[in-house]
Amino acid sequence: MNDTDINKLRDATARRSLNTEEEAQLRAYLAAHPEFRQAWEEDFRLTSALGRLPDAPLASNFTAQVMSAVHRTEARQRGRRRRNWFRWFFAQALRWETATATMVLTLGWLTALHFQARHRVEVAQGAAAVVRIAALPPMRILQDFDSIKNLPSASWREDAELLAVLAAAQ
Amino acid sequence: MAATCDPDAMLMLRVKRGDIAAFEELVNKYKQPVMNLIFRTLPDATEAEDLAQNVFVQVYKSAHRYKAAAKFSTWLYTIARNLCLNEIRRRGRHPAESMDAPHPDHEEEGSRQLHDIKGFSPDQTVLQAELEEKIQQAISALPESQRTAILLCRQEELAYEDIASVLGCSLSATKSLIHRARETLKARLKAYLRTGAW
Repeated sequence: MNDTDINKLRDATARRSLNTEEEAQLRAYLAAHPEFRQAWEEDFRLTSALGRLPDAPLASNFTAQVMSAVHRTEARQRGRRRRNWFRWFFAQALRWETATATMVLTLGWLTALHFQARHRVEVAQGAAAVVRIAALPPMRILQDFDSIKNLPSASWREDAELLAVLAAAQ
Repeated sequence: MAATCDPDAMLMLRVKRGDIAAFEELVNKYKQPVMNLIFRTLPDATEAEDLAQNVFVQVYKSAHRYKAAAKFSTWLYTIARNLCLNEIRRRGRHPAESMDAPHPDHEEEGSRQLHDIKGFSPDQTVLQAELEEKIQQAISALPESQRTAILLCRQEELAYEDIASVLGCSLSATKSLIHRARETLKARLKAYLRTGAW
């Protein structure tokens, strides 16, 4: 037997009892190498001892307890999904409120801008009217306004004759 | 065994589709092997049982993510091992004394008695109980990776490759762990192994 065969037997010994063929191979090997007999026997006994370890104590209703725990977990997950749904819904509603408020504020701002612009136009139009008024004759033409106003009223024919004389003089 | 031929993987795929009866079948099949693995790591029976229940609850909660890429038992023992490691780390941060674990000051007191129901005489039964206690202590004293490797070796359906997958190391490293664990156990139990008490 070569080392590979020995290692295979050793691996097999570590996990289970050897079959008939393997036992025959091992017997032949140990007959040729009796110095390894004790080590092999210890291996066998250890494997046997490990295999004979009793099962750990387990409650008879273990499966029922597991199923109960699983149902509780499912109920908690359902509750969590419901809460998540409410949270999602209120988050959406909050988004709509935010969107509406933003829209209202924007409209108000645009309206304010519009009125400001209109006011500026009105002011500009008023200024333009003032400029037109500024093109009128100077104020000194009104300096004899009171005297002229108090003159006795003459007939229009005499006025017309006066205007013709004045025009001829120019 | 290819994952697609693994009947337990097929059952787990049914669990993924919502078949609770398939889940119950898996629990019934694996509750004892999982409990055996956890109990040898956390020698407190009550805590080990709680953790074993958590393993299956975790399996159920993870069902939607399950892919039959490997054998179901490999996936299951990986979850069991990870939960054991988490518990060991948690205990490392918040140590508490177990009422069931053997205490150095009370070594002569028997811990939980696990009676062997095979047909031994009363003297043989006492001896058998003592031997089992000794081997339990020796296993508990192993480093975690060696202990897990040697306990998984008991599960005949797991190939060395599957054990390597659970441990997250290579095949050669896994065989090395098993070999070192066995050498340590043989050294600790030499007196019993040489007398042929087993």
